[in-house]
Amino acid sequence: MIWQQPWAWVGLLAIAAPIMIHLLGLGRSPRHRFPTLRFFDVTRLAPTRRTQLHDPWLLLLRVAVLVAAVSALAQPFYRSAERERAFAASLARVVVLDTSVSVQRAGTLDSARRLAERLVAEADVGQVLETTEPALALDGAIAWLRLQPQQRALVVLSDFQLGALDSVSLRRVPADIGLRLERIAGASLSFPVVSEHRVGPRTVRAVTTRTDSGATRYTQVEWTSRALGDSSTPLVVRVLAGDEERESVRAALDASFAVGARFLGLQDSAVATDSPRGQVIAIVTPGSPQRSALLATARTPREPWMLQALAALQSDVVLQETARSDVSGRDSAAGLVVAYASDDQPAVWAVEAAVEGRASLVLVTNTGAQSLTMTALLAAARAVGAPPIGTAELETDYLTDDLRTRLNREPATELQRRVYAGAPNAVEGESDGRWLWLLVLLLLGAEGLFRRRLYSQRIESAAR
Amino acid sequence: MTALSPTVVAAIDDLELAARLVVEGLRTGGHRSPFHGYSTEFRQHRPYRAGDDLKYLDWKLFARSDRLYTRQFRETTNLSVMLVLDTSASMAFPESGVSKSRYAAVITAALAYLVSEQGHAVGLMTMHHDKFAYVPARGGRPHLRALLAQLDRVEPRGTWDPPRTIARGAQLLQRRGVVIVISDFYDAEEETRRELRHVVQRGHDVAMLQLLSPAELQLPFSGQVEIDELETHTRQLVDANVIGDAYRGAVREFLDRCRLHALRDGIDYALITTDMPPEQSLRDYLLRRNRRQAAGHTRSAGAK
Repeated sequence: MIWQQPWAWVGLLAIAAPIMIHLLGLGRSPRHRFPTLRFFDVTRLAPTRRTQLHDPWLLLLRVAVLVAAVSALAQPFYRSAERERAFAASLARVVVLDTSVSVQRAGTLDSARRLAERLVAEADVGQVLETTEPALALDGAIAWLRLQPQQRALVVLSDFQLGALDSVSLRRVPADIGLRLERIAGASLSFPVVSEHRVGPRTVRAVTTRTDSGATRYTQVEWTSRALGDSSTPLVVRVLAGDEERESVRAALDASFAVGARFLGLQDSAVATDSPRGQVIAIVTPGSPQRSALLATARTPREPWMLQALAALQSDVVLQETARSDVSGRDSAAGLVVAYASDDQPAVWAVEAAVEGRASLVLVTNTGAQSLTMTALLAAARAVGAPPIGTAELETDYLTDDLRTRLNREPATELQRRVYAGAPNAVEGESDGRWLWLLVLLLLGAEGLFRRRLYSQRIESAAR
Repeated sequence: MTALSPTVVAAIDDLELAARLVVEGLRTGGHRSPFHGYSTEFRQHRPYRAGDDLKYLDWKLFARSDRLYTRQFRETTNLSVMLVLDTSASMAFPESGVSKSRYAAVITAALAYLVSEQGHAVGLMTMHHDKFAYVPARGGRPHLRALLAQLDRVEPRGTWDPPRTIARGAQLLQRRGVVIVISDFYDAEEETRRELRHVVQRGHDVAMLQLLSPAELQLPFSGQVEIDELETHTRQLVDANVIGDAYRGAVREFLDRCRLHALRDGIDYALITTDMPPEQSLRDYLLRRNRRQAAGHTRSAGAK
């Protein structure tokens, strides 16, 4: 039995009314004039007027009328097996897939995607939402589910790093939507440590990172990061430096690690530097032997991703402030200024040129490889295209399985969903209360007959 | 002739008519008048027996026949009957239907009519507005009408003083007579009994017609009710279901006490309920009185 308007039960307080009537108001005992009191045994007289209910059957009928009426107002809905089957027939499901760095680094993203697709396939209708911020994706998932008439379920596939999905976020999930938190293996990121430098023709340096599993992985410094505008395209940053500048560049790289968390957006060396889809940013130092040739063929950047990268560089406060403290050593060439030096000459400017046969965004510096501006430029270039990293990605603890299991809940059936407050499609016109109203009418009739009979008896009694 | 229901009789405004109807109902039963006067009329001689009062010896006959004969007399006329009627508020019960006061008025009127028709004197003693209201015992149709008019004016209210009223009624009889008290006898039970005994001792023939309604006998209420006593307006809350049996027991005990004391004191006693036809109540009472008087005559004749 479901009560669609459970607040109506407050109406049961009205039962106090007939009780009070029987005790007080109409409960005044009928008065009879009588010749004498001499034959009444004073030791057996009624003690007080208000401690004894009179006409208990009439009171019972009246209370029954009220209870039936309140029950009818509460709109009962009998959950028969047939009705349950009809309402629990279909399911809509949204799978929120956490694609944050920690999940990606664990190498479980593909299996998680397959799981998400299977979960969606199990439902009658479903969606997979990939996001690096599961908490932010919940609203969209809830909005979509609200439009579905079926049972609704929300599945979150994540490694559940602490802070990634908190209770406040989960509280936004309406009670009628089922919730299932499914853990996929994650790998918290440890801060990378520079342990080795290998300077080769195409790589500037190598760093090692240590993962949770303890495995040591080598990363080419010819780093890549998420490309601008297209997540499937890696962004490669190359440093074109002269022989005598390489040590300075290496030092600048060391310094750029201090930028901190943004470095964590780097992809590992699995991304081939010669990927045809790669977007290349080349940093040309003053001592680079390719500088003259590149500048000779350079033109103003036109590719959208280049302009987007330039905008990001121009908004990098550290780069701008550092460049302002440097002195530009050489004249500028045609291109777009990235940062000005203290003498209002371009410290860094950008052109579009072909590097190793690929159209690249070339950042030309006038400051030396050992300058602070170079360090800042390296750090800014790394940040370009890197996805925003939440602080949760630094978290090494995860939501416990116990707590996660407790947060899980089954999707509400259609029937259950209809009775939740605010459910837009409550069971209108399907209440079984009409039978109770019929009972109310019958009881009222019985009460009237009973009352009439009782009063007739009293009148006859008084007449005698 | 079918007995008139109490409701019909009580509904007749004219008391004289009601009384006549009741008395005619009595006659259909072929009863003799139960009231015998004390005036004497010679009836016969009988031989003297030892112990006979010498004053009844017929000396003239003795002189002629030289035999002793005692004269015997028949009581004939000029019986005085005083009807004492309870007019207290308790007689107003029940307030719907036939009240005890109305029933008592009809009974009283019928008795007055009966007595007057037989040529006896009849009077009425009652209280009206807390003062004695009486009609002296006389005979004749005009007097009867005056008595019935007085009876019609009587309305039950307040309390009454039965010993004083009865004593005053008996006092109004100039000689020995009949005093009939019609009441529920709720008030001053012991004093009333004592006064009735005094009246008997003064040579009057006394009758108690105890008039009650069935409701007083049965207490037909149920549940918690508030009883408002008619005379004193004292109110009392009672649970009729709880005290019903005790009440009925107390009433039975009271009635038994009244009957036994009346019997012991030589008083005619009759319990009349208002649900009985008045002529039937009256007939029952008169038959009982006849039987008692016949038994009394037999005893006195035997004694003589």
